[in-house]
Amino acid sequence: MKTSTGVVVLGVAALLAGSARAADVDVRSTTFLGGRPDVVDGQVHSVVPITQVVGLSARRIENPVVDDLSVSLDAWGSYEIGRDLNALEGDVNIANVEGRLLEKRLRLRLGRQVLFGGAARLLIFDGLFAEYRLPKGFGAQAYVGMPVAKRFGNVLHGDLVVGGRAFWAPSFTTEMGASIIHVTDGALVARQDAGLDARLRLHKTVAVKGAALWSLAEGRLAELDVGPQWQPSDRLELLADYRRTAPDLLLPRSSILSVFADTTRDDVGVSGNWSPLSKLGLFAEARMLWLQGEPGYDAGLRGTWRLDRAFATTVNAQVRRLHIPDNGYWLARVAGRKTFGELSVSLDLEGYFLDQAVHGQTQSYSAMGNVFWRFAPAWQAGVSGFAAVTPTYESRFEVLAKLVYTFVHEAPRAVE
Amino acid sequence: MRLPRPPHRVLVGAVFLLAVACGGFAARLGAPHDTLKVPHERHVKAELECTSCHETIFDSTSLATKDMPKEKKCLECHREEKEEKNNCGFCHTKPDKPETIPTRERTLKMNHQTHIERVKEDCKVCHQDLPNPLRTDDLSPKMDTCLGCHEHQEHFDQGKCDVCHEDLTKYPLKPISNYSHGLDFLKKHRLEARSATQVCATCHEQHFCDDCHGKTVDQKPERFFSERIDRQFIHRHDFIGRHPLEARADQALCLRCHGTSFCQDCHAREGLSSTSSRPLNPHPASFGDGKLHGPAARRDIVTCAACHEQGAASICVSCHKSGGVGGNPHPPSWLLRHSKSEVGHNAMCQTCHPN
Repeated sequence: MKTSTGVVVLGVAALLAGSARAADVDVRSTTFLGGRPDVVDGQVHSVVPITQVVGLSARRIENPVVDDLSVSLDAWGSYEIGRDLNALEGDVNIANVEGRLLEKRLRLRLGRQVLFGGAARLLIFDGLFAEYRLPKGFGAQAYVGMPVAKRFGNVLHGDLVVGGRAFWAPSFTTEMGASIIHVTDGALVARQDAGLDARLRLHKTVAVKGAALWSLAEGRLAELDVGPQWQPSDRLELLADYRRTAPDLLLPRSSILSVFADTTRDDVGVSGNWSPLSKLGLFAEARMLWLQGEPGYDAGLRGTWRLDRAFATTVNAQVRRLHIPDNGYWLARVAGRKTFGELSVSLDLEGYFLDQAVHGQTQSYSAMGNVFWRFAPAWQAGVSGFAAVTPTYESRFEVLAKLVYTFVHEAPRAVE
Repeated sequence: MRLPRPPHRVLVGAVFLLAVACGGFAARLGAPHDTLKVPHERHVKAELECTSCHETIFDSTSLATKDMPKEKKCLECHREEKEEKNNCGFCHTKPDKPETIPTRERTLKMNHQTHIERVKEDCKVCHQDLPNPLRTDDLSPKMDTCLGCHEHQEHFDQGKCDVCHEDLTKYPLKPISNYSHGLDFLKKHRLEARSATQVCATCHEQHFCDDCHGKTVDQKPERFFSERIDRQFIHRHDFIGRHPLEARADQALCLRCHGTSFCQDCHAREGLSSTSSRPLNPHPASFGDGKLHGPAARRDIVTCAACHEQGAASICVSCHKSGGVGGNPHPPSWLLRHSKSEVGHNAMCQTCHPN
């Protein structure tokens, strides 16, 4: 894995070096310096990490062979101040080359990439992706490679992923697809799913969306999500949806615990966005949950008030009630932002109140403040502070400074 | 919470070097450029036709063609300024470092040839304000101008953006019917992304997804975008305190990004896992009785996995292995989905069925 990552990075860097003059280039850089508590062996320590994130995209690289040749790179490195150099961390999230052939009908992408849609859910892998577009909105995608395990835990074990999706997208608002994915982990099938998905506009104001995933390996439904959406005007939007998931099928099939489970979760709900005034936006949602047959509910109301047309001052307020069989909470949140030219200031307050105590506490209060300054056309700087009194921490403080650089370069044209 | 991870010194060094290189490269690109001073209004007052300078525009079928006048066209009238007065500043804002006309990003499919015919060679139908390179405001025809035509209004109503737009990623496009990115879109975009991949990709590049869904995310989204108080980031504020409830309410939501090893790592450090040196037992006294923990595990194995997934060393194996006191743990439909021959080539099965 290390070798393949290094090769990808070097390849992308070499391509960028050779191509930047004749391409549209975006450069994104963010530097973070923060201080926060961390728990090790039950003891709370303060840590001060410094993190550098870089992103680089070169598009429409002029060349005689491939149309729309582009290169993408996203990577980061981090060091915890005060620790030895072994504490250095870093990763490459995206590093790929993409181009189109055959009058732009065939799109190829090689390298570390993010793929979403159909049975792939959201898949990150090292490999090759190909898409061929046929007339009348028909098309097909195929991919092969090695799944990239996330640092947050091995969600998807595997050393080979193969999959594809056939789709029909006759217009901007209608798309249908059928897909399949097969992942192996050594000799085991880690995942083998087939999916159907669709987004249909039945009327100018009505659309129906749905996706279903069938686990071929387990012979049962892994996920179903379906619902209509009605947007009669720019000011009103109503949605309803039903969702069934089998959370245990998100455990790797190579997990010893996967043999015990037969789990389902269902929920059905309605939600709506409404702007009774141009400066006021409201959102409401109510859902019923069935967690292995035991009922619960989740309901909320949220409002955004823009005090001026230019969004210079906004206030958000939110209330949420979650009830599950074992516990529940009420949540309240108020946040506001004020912009003074290139400077913006925000304050975000949140509290929740548990039905049943956790660590003997039923209340949690937290506050976050931000100052953000665009001090030059491509540069922004910000400082955030966070303070909380929670069931887990008697008190918790964090601070984070960030420096953001975003540059867009458009390729110059030669004068003849 | 940080997770231990093998050092990648070379990789990290490469990333930092790349960052420095990017900065230098960008700084070079970011230097002020020369601009050509072309006062369109003055040229129009002199009663020049647009095509006097823009000669090739009649045959231009896309914005990718080079239709801006060449220097020799300017010199047809202004040769004296350059060759006799050596007055480069007459046209160039930086006469000491004169540059070429910069290319504007080609994001529109615009065929001047066909449009000129339709407007009967009256360029002002679309170019109502003539561009002035020295003014910062963009005086290119606005989208409203395009939508003044019945045909394009129809395209707009149908959401057929790609008739005109090559690439929507640069446009802060407002929501249109059925594609509203309303107040709860962050929570519900999952289904849109799964069922309308072609549309999402029209506007959003990979790094847009990667900011939150990347292989690794160095800063949680609510920190990365701390100023975005309008967003409903999952882990905002005191998520640690309420995460048991959120996880119970929607386990799949957690598992899409976090494997059970993520849960275990944190729980072990907090002393909540069976692998902790002094584990705190959260279960009631009689939980070992199969009548309690059996049904609980059957209906909520993901919660069990948050502390008890140690592969062959899992606490479950000791009692539930073949011939163990715990008996057969498989659900009733197990044998419908799995054949006994699977045991021979599945290492996980052999943990409990060694023979």
